[in-house]
Amino acid sequence: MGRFILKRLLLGIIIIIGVVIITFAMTRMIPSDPAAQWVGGRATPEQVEKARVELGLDKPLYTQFFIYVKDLVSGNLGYSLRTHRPIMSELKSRVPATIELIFFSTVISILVGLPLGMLSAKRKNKTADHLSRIFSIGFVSVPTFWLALILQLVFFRILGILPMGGQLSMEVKLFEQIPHITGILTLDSLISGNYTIFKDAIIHLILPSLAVAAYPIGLITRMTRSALLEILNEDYIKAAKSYGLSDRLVYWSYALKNSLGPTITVVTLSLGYTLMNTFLVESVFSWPGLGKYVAGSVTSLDYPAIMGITIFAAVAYILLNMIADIIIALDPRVRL
Amino acid sequence: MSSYISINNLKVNYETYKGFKNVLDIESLQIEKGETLGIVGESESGKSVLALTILRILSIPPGIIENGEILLEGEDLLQKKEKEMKSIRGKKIAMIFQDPMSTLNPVIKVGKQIKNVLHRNQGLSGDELDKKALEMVEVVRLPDAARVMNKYPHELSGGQRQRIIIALALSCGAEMLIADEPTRNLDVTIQSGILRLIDELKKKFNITVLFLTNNLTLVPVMSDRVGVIYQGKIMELGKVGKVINDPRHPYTRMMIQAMPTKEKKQINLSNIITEDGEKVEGGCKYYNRCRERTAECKTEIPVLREIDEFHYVSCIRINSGGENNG
Ligand SMILES: Nc1ncnc2c1ncn2[C@@H]1O[C@H](COP(=O)(O)OP(=O)(O)OP(=O)(O)O)[C@@H](O)[C@H]1O
Ligand code: SF4
Ligand SMILES: [Mg+2]
Repeated sequence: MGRFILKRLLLGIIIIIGVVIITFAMTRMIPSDPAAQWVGGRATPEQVEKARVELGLDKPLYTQFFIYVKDLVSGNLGYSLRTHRPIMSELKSRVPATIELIFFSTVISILVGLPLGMLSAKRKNKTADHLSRIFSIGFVSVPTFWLALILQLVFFRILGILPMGGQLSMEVKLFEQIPHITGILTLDSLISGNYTIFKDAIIHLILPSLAVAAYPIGLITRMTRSALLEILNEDYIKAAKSYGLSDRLVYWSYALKNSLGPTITVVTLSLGYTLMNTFLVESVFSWPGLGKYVAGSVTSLDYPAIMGITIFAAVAYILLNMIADIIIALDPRVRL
Repeated sequence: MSSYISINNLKVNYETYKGFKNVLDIESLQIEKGETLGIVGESESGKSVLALTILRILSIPPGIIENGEILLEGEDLLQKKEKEMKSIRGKKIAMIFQDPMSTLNPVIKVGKQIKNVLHRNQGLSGDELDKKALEMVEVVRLPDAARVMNKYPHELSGGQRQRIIIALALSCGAEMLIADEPTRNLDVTIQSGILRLIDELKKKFNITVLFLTNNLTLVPVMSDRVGVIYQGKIMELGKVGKVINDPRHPYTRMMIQAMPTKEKKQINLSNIITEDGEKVEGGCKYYNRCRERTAECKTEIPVLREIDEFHYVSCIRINSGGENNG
């Protein structure tokens, strides 16, 4: 196990080096003048030239690359061309909100998708199965952006039971002492025991997490259904039945345990897509995560920011995959 | 006297992309309480389908039970509700499955699997359950039982797994045991060990056994009577000594000629006939391989008839009393 993790870590580092090289090359190929961006539209040519030297853009490309990598290793992602703030601290203030959203939507998608898939398999070709299949196809194919808008329309505009966006209500923001421990609001409010904030944060999380969860719900439902159907045909299920074991035991323990592997794989594989969806949903719900920052950085060709985000996404993806592999490796059949 | 199990006119088909295929067609088969009935037949002859049908765990579809009855102490299993079957599976009839690789749940420790069965069928729990589970593993002669219990199936050898499967079936505490090729995929020395074990346990717990195998040489090890099955049909049925020493059906004779003898330990391949004639619809199923076929066999469907006391044969050319005619 230890060797396996080490191997995966090394592989991850190699992938990240690749990602750094490629993103660096790509940002340099974009026709733009970062120095001009840095000083703004009204700067004189002398000022632009000065900025070029300051930013090190006058140096040969490979020197620039080595400087970038050197900074990267020490945790410095450079400065945003737009805000002139260090990218690292910009990411630090936004990443937790995105993680929170992804975490909640993943939990929701498992809590909904798994039972739905099981129900579907158990009632194969009956009404419940047909309904759940229609739902799951719908969830997979509905555009997330559109779904986010519809959720907002229904639950905020029409029903008025959930907030339109943001992470906290105005009153809470004004009157409560917001804790900053991990940056993840629900967790911080729980740690500090402030249930007013916790409740408010959860209420604000519902709609965006649902919007993000839709796609993985559909995926998990389908995957669980097909994995279970296959397993229910296995000899060991027939055997378990022949011993007179109860349906409940056969289904919930003998069959389900075996179907978790494929389901976990699907969840992690969909996480890349989920990250992208999260960015979209964040902008609909004015969620203070990475989404808006990403959009802003891309449209203004803020290349150090784009690189920082790309590297963050790559690291996150590699880590999540590794976690999934470790979970799957807990299956006694997998020998490492 | 009525039999423990009595199968009448049982027809099972499979739905395939080419249409229906008949895989089981049993006119009449009885199993008496306490006996061991061996059923021998080559691969695909329908042995597993028979076992799965009795326990009603055949996958339907693609399987279809066309008609027939399986009377267990007079009650038709095929008419029972799924819920009623639950009190028969494990409680009355348990099964040893043929494939030790796929019969055990790969992600549950074998000890836990045995305990689940004991808990369900014998209502044990706590220390009593642990003790009994250990005892069951010891009963099937697995050394180091406590350690084996803590293993996952993939950590055991084929022979060990087969013993665990036997322990599982025995843990049900059923009156009858269906042993579906319990020693397939095992090497010869382990085979006879396991068969003798089943036979011994059968006597110890006084169970009725239906022993399914593709190896005629294994039948005398643990059967009172033997049925020869070919393409889902019983071809010959009788006391083991009788069938082996005085085989009447051409298929049985062919099998016996191919059997290894004292002089010749190898299977006699030259005596095995595979297809050497055309297939016929509506006649004898064995027609295309039979050495003694005649034109009548093409059209007349043989029925299982008693040709001697307790000796049944399904061949139109065999008369009662002795000689084959023709
Ligand atoms: N799921 C299935 N779909 C279609 N046909 C099947 C299916 N399972 C079994 N059969 C057919 O049923 C017939 C009987 O198969 P069965 O498994 O009972 O044979 P068997 O005597 O147990 O053979 P073996 O000695 O190989 O275990 C075969 O012709 C087989 O092809
Ligand atoms: S009925 Fe005819 S074909 Fe069939 S076994 Fe007898 S002799 Fe052979
Ligand atoms: Mg079989």
